[in-house]
Amino acid sequence: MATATGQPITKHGSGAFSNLWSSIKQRYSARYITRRIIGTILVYITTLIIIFIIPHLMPGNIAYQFVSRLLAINPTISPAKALSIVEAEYGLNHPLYVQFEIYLKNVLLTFPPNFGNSFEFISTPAMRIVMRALPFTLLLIVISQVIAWGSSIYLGVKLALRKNHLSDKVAVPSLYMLYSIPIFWLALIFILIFTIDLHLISSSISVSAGAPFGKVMYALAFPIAIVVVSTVPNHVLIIRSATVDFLKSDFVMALKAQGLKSSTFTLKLMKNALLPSITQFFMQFGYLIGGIYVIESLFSLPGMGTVIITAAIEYDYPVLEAGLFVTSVVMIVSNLIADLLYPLLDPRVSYM
Amino acid sequence: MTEAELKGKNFLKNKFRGIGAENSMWRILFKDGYFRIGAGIVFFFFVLAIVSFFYLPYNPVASTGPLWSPPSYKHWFGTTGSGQDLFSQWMVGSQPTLLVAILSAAVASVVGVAVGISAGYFRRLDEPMMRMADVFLILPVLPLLIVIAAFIRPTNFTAALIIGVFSWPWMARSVRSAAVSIKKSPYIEVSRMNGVPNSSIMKSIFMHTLPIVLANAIFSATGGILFLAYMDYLGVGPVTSYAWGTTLFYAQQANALFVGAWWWIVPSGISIAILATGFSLLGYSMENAYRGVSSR
Repeated sequence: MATATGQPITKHGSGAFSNLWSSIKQRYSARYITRRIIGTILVYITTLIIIFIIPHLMPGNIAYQFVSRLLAINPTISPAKALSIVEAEYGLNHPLYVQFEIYLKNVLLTFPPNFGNSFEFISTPAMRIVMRALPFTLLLIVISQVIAWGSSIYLGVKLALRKNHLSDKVAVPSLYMLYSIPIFWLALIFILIFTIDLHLISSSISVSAGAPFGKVMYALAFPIAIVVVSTVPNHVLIIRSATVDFLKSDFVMALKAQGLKSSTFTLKLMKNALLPSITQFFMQFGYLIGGIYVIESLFSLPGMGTVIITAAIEYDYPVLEAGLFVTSVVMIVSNLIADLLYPLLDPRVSYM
Repeated sequence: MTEAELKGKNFLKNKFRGIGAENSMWRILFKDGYFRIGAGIVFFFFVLAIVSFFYLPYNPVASTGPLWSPPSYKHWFGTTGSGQDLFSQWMVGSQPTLLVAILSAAVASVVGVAVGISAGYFRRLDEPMMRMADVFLILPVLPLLIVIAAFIRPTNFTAALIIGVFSWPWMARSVRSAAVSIKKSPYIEVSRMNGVPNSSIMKSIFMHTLPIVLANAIFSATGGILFLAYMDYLGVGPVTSYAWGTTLFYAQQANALFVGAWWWIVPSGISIAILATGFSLLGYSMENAYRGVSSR
């Protein structure tokens, strides 16, 4: 890339880094970067507001749930007194704008952001429960998406090259079908076939957050396979349509005229198809991450999905808010990184 | 206006209504195999939903047969762990699924068209409105819907509302880009110079974006089906109705998997997938037909 942008390749130790830096400076203007970062902050604030609004959509307030839970454990306490104590602890006895102020102070000014203590695991901060689960989810997402992405680039380009052949005409609707299958149902069918009928794979391998890596991977193999099968169709369809558009360009005509070997030609197509599909991928990340959460909860893996879905069923509101907050932050940060990396990966794009 | 411009003016209208032009959008569509498959699937489930209002073999929630019975002549899809007839449940399940799909698509269309056309037409609104759409695109939609549903415990209508509220940005984006390109065409410029009021120009722009709106609404309906299935399966969906996802939720609760009761799981899940595929094929072929016509 350094030679492509006309920068001399430096010999000293930090050469790669300084090259990267100079190409960054060439590709972006300061104005673009500030605009992009202001946009990110805007999204962050909107997310915070949405997370604040959601619990207030409910009739009554979340303290009633907590008190009924306490009453179930210990019926002798006085509900009115417990209610007032809980409301004071979560700041629910203030007017709405004061609550918003307290909320902003808790989330913006403290680190890690404070969403209060969990209802289920009493006296554990909700944020700690969520943060403990985060690495596991990230591992699952990264591994499954690297595998899915790699295989779909190959498949997508192959399908695009065979456009209007019978195999493409059959493949497209069947990929739509596979894409439309909810991931949890696919998992149920996989368990039914491979675990219950064929006795091939165990579907419940217990694993905890601090387990050694090999054991974690062993437990993750089956869920990862399911996530890969269910996300490949989406990637393939995106890459196929990007390549079909790309095949119409003059550029490809020139490539063909060069008389390249077909494998080299395909490789070049793959490289080109990769880039436009990145943006598309991050747009559908919100749906994908939800599916991965459901899979985690189905296999009882100690990830964010299990935490959030258990909290949703158990009415554990602080954990729900914290989980949603962390999910949004992961999405926002990965979107920002993808946006900023894009011109570095694709020499044709620059944000000046 | 020259002959060509006049033709251009009536062209989109004719294409949409299928009058005059030999290759109108509908004609192209009916030749398309994907469209026919998709239309067939959607039509089938609509008929199923309508029939289920008037006729059901059994009461879908009452225990009417042996427990855990596999498919038989009496119970076509078998029975649940408490003896409910799964065929009746499957028939009833099509109602809320289609209702939520259509309502959420309608909500997404109304918001998306309003935002898209005003952003495409008024240059001053363009930047803020599209930034707002970007904000909604980045949000983790599915986790957000699950959490909101956990808080508000929705009915079918509120579920459709929240699904629609989070799926309008796609619509807004494509409507905006179509509106921008239509706004540049000569006949709009002529009518602006003649002092035609903004509202009627916007109405005509809207009429011309209608095929795009329709295709996008169909894609939103697909999303609505899947989102509803996720919510129902996790047990946070509408509690007042019995959708396919709800059947799967109860199957999971009763450990149907470990009993080996595949008949409890397969029909509902496969129907979700088939209906969603039907809608996506419709949307896909409409988008293609629109592109084919407009690039001619």
